[in-house]
Amino acid sequence: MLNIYRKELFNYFWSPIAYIVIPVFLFISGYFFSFSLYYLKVATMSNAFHNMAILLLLLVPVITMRLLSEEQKSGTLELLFSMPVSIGNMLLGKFLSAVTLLGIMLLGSLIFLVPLITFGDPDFGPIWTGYLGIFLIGTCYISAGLFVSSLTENQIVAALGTTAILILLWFIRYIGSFEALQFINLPFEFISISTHQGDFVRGLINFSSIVYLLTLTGLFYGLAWLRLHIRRYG
Amino acid sequence: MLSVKNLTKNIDGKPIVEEISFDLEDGEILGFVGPNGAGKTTTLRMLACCTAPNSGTAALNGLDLVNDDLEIRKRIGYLPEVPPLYEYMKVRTYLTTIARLKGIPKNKQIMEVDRTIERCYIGDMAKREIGKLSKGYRQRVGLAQAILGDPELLLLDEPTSSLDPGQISEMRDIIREASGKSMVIFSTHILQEIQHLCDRIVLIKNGKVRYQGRLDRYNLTDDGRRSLMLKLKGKTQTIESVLSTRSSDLNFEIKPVKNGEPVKVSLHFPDSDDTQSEILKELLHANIRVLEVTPLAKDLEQTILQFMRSE
Repeated sequence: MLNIYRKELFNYFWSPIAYIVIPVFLFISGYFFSFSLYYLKVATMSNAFHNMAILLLLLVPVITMRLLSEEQKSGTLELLFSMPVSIGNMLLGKFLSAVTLLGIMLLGSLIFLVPLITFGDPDFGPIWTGYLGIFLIGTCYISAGLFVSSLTENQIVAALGTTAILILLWFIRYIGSFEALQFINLPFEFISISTHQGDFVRGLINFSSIVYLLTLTGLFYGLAWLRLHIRRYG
Repeated sequence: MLSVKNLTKNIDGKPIVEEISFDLEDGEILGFVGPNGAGKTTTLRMLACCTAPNSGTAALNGLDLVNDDLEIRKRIGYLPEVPPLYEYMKVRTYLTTIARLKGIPKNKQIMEVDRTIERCYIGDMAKREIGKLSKGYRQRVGLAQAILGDPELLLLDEPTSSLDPGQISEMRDIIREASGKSMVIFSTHILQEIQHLCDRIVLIKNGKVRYQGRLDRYNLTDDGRRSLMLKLKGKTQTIESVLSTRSSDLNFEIKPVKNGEPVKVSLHFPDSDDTQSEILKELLHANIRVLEVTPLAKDLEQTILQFMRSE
């Protein structure tokens, strides 16, 4: 597992991906952050977290697109299959390498706290829960990306497919706003990731939100595992 | 030792490999021969644990292909038809990554990688990025990856296809050297490869084994006797008298030639190296000069083509 993790991390930092995704994330989220700070003059990060979650909808697919697509295209998946590495360990190494990249991005965003502390007196509760929320949401995105990447050997298709699934999961609660669909409002509201993000940003650690996000992460991870298992043993 | 029994694989309900069985002794090189689409790659993929058989088993030194697959994978080296390379890595980085994945102990990794780089003649490319290498070098890096750590079983899928003659000969040297420590199975449809490398062959067509056996059997004719064509310098009568004194199991025919030209004799006798050397010794004793000894074997190529054409 550790060897796969090392290999993937090496790939991120060898290729331009890390050097593009991390600065783009920090620059754009920083831009929105300073914008709202300047106009609202409130020492909070709630808008920033919201923007980060949307930004990650677009950036995580870039991180995850090559995880399995590239291995399938170049035939190296066969190589990994012939090595003494189980499918579970292989996926875990890949998953954790992407999570590490996410962690680096979020750590970088801690710099936003500097102006908040310097010029104001922020309430740290919602900030830490907000970070917990965005981290859980990010890992959930990564898991979805890993799964979609297992389905195709084309990286572009993997990225677009992941984006489509994530956007659907983010915005699905708006389906409930159609009058004819009012009666199914509640389930859509629950499966929509944006609903859960709201709680974290408000400083709430909602148990059901954590369980939901972890379940979703586990579900996509399991699907990716199933996909490789069928490919190999099916 | 590897023992393959009734290995079968269906893809989309269609049998690709049907009940393939063969054995391989330590140190042997087995040629897996058949036309494209015969099931060679699928069989190798099954043995490399890349796909599971629908039925049948294989045992590598007592380990079961299906139940002990993680242990088996520590003991095999696999080179697929397209070498599985990480283009963005340098050759040495790539091989080090493979050494780690193969579970080679940390203190041996550097030594093992260096030794493999040397064995595969890729020392001058070790610091180059794989994506920028020529086809021949890519193939060699792929082979290096497979032989790294001296696996008990080497599985090579058409390792020499699309290489130039010089590269092919180098590749053969590497494979022959590797066979000192590993059993080797390699698939090919190039017949020269078989003659140059294999101890044994398995002929496969439409997913079924058509023939298997040691390669030297092909030096015989259909009736199991050895045939030689000799070119001799000496008196025809002397030759005739020498050959006639041998027991009745020797048939010979002296081709009529003009005076002064070498005499051509075809011999036909039970397959044995002793008989052959005795005959030649007697001829030499009678002051006959032996200019040429050509085995009149049934041509390997002919035989294989015959196998391939038959249903």
